[in-house]
Amino acid sequence: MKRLSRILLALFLLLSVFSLANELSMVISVTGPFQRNFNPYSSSVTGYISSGLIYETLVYANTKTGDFIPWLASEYKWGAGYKEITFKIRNGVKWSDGTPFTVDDVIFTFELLKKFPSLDVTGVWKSGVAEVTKVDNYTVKVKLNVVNTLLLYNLAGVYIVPKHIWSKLDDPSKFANEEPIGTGAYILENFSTQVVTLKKNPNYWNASKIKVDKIRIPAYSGNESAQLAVANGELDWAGINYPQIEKLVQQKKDINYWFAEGNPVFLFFNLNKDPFKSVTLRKAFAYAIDTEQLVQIGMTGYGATVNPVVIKSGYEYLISQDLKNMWWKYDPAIAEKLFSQAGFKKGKDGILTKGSIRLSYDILVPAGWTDWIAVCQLLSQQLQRYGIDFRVTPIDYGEYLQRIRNKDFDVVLSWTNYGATPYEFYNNFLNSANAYVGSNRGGWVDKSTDDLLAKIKETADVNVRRVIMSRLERIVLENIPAVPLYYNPVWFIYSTKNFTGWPNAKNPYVEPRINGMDKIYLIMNLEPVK
Amino acid sequence: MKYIANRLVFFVITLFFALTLNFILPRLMPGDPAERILSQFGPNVDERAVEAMRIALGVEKDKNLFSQYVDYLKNTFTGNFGVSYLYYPVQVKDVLATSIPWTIGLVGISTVLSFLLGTFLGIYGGWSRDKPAGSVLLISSLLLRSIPYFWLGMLFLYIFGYRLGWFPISNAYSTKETLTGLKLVLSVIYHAILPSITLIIASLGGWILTMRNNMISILAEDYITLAEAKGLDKKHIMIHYAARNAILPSITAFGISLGFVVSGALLTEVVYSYPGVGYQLYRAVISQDFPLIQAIFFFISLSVLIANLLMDFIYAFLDPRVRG
Repeated sequence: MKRLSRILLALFLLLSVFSLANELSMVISVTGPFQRNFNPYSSSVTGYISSGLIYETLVYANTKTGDFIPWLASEYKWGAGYKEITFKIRNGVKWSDGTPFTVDDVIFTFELLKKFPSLDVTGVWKSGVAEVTKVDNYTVKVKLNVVNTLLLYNLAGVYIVPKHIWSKLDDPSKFANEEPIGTGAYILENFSTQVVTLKKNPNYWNASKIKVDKIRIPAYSGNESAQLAVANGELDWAGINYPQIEKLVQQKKDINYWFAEGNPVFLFFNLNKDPFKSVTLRKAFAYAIDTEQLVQIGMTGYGATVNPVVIKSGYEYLISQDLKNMWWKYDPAIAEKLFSQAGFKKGKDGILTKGSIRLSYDILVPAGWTDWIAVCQLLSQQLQRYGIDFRVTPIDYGEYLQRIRNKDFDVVLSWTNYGATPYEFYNNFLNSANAYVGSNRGGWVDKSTDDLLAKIKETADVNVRRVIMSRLERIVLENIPAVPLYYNPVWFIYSTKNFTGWPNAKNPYVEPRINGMDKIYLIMNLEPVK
Repeated sequence: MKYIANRLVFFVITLFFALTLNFILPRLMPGDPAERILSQFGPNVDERAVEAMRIALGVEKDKNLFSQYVDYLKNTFTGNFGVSYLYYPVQVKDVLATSIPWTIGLVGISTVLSFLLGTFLGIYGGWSRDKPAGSVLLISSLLLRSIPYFWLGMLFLYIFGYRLGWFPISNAYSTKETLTGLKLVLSVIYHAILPSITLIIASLGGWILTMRNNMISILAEDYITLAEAKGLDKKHIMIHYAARNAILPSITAFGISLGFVVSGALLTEVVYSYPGVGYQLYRAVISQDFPLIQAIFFFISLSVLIANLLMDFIYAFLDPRVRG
């Protein structure tokens, strides 16, 4: 009898433990049923799940605050005039199969990326890493062949994988990693094409920070069902678009949203073609466009406004105050003056003309990106007033990128990858190496710009960087290589029903992005509601 | 015998042409698979990943088109469909294995049910075309056929899934708890009801109208009048004289529909977030996932052709005239 009651008690305790386990449900993206692939270097939804939650990096770069947070490395130190970085590896970390995590795993991972460039998604070996060597059992040294103070951002994207498993593979780039073994806070509990569940790793090195016991990630193919799930309160975290979210937020007190600044969207001109070589003309466009209207109507209020030097909030200290008098803003009168200064007059058909050039162009936009197409239509309406004819031309996404690469366009609505910091953004946006092929879509090629961009990588002194940035800002303000319109939103809807501590506009401690380490940093800040 | 041999030769030639088209068409699309694959996550992803993805997928570009074609034919017949670009490095056969069963289950069963229900209603509708019931049937089937079915799906989803909460709003089984055994089976059936009803209603009108029109033209034949004059039982005339002849065109249409079951039901899958081939094909086309596109098209062509071949044989059995 005594024994029975003991068993019952144990069962009861077990049950109460089960019912106490809290669960975070999230949708990462609306891309249909899952395929079993937990390779952290794969650009897929399950790959994104494994990066950060199952696999971790040496340091975490918080792009919202600009902080570097030591992660699998307990500390890091620059040396040899910014030509090497030493990482101290954290003690007592274990892989989820019990094997200790060592410095060999780190060196193995770097060698792996060197041998299989398709895994090197952040391009560490292309950005100056020459060699990765073991100093002692807890120290690893990354040597560079050039000075690159921004390399840490690349290193912060390297997910350390276990040598004792990955070294046995013939081709790790073709490894679907169905049973992931990582150092991360979560381990795979169950996989099906419809839902992936993760549970807390009991041996996690930073376990006291983890208060979310389980994560449940259902698969959605259509926006309709994902949005209804949000409205039903089935999701704690949804990285999706939701039309008229304000109304939902009013109806349901738990649901809230924060659409943070994502990548900036520009009106790019083909700088290789004739009328757009004129700075005055480009400047006229900058004054002619009412970006506020584009955000409010085209993006239904969900884009964030952008300043002329495209520096995001959190990095205001990089904005050069001396140049603020050069900042342009929507002003039709100035725009008209600039158009005529550039030599354009309205022809018989009402279109601005100069010699044989008529300002009448196809503006390219990816087909199916409905919000962007709406922006183009508004843009075209706005410019019509000045006598400019922009024909909205949605084209297939592949063709869209191909035409930009082949310089086969006049004007295009497109974006620039912002990267981790404004430094990286300026490099993406202005470096001649990225002209047409990368984020420098208009093809800005300028020697002095390239030199300034190189100099940023040679220093880690914020004050020196500020000086360089102010020169770059001057270049942007004087030349207007493209007209920044707004920041595309990072979709983020959250519910305070089960968890609190979410980032939002008032407390923007992390960018709630779905790919990378931001997820785990955010989850560490969540508290279950009792 | 000659008829069957004829059909078989025709089958082989058509299959070969379908395979060749299947190889050429996706390659006429502009763009680069690496960029398309990343585009599914919108403009907020890291561009550096494109470079790495291009290296991973870059194998095919070095080969000329002809040797790609030879490899393609060889691989298709050995069942080696390769690695999917979109779900790299997952094998195409794994992607198909997780989507084809759902499609056959949902679309297959719905097609059969819809055909049976529609044909019976059509027989009745044709037979009683002058009665009020026949008119009601005619009007409602015309109406059903003209409703866009994704809209119907969204309406059902909103009313029965969200507002009333009678049915789940997404997925093929519960994603809220991990189920096994009988509970899983029940959950699967429960989740299939709403998408299945949408599919049945969407195609029902077509079946009713085809069958009804066939019936009416057969009912005008002399042998029906003769049978009536002989005083045969009405039901007997309806089923054995009229319907047996009238069903032949419907059988052909049913064969084609069965063949297309493998292609899935894209819009239903999207609206209900239901796994299936339609959505995979859509994603594959959007991301230029040649291996996946080719494998899915191969199965669609194969099943349509086999279904047609089977229907030809059944036809020969049902209608002695074609055996000739």
